[in-house]
Amino acid sequence: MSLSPEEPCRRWLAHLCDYVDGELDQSLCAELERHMAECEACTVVVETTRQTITLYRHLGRAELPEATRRRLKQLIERSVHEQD
Amino acid sequence: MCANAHRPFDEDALVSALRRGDRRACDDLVRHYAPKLYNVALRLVGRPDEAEDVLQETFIAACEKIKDFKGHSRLGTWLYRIVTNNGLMYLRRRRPTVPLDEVEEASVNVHPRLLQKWPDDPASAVDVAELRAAMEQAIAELPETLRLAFVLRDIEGLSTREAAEVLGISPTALKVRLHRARLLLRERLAEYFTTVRGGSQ
Ligand SMILES: [Zn+2]
Repeated sequence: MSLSPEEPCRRWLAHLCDYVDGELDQSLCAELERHMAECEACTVVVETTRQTITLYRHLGRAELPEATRRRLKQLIERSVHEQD
Repeated sequence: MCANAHRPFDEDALVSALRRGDRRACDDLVRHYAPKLYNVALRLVGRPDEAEDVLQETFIAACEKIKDFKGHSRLGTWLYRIVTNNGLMYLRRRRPTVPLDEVEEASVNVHPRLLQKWPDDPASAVDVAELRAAMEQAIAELPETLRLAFVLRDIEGLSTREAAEVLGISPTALKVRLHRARLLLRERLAEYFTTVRGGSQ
């Protein structure tokens, strides 16, 4: 299985983001879904792109270290004092 | 004071309080925005100690400039712009001769190659710490411009318009960067899932 670098898969790849973001207009969206029903490659690209976004949304955020938060608060408190 | 932690977030009230120099408002600002801005700073500069510097510069600048905040954009968008600009300046100071990697950004081939399905719930099908490490490496290797578009839009959850405003580019340009970023990350994670599953079978 491969994603054709030619039409029509190439054309659908350009609409990938609008589709996964729910921003593709209705007629194009219906047309893409008809294509995906017959094209496993495009289906996998859509599905794994969604999974990529979901994974980063859930696991991709760096935690603010407690010590960093504490030092930031101290810094701001000092600078507010200086302004007083 | 303890009830403070559960007070609903009111952006207009926070901005007014900051302009009055209300000290508690600074606490609110830190509590609400520091985790988000730290994430952007770290993704941009890469090292925790440097991200902390960028975070501190950002809050100092924000407190000094709050009087200039016009309210045309959301407070968050304004703060994301300050942290992004500070982070980019930091990178330029660190390696002043290397230009922003827009050339690289445009020349990377993003056409999907690996087209196997992934596990239905990928995070529970593999070792999460290992997956997280693969994700971190994949995002760190993206060209800066693509990385910023992805972090703001997909991790921080800004709208296309807001993320474009933060970066000072058009929504169309933002979408182009986001498209490339998503496809490159997808390909890298596809490599990871293919290797992991191939190895265990
Ligand atoms: Zn196709």
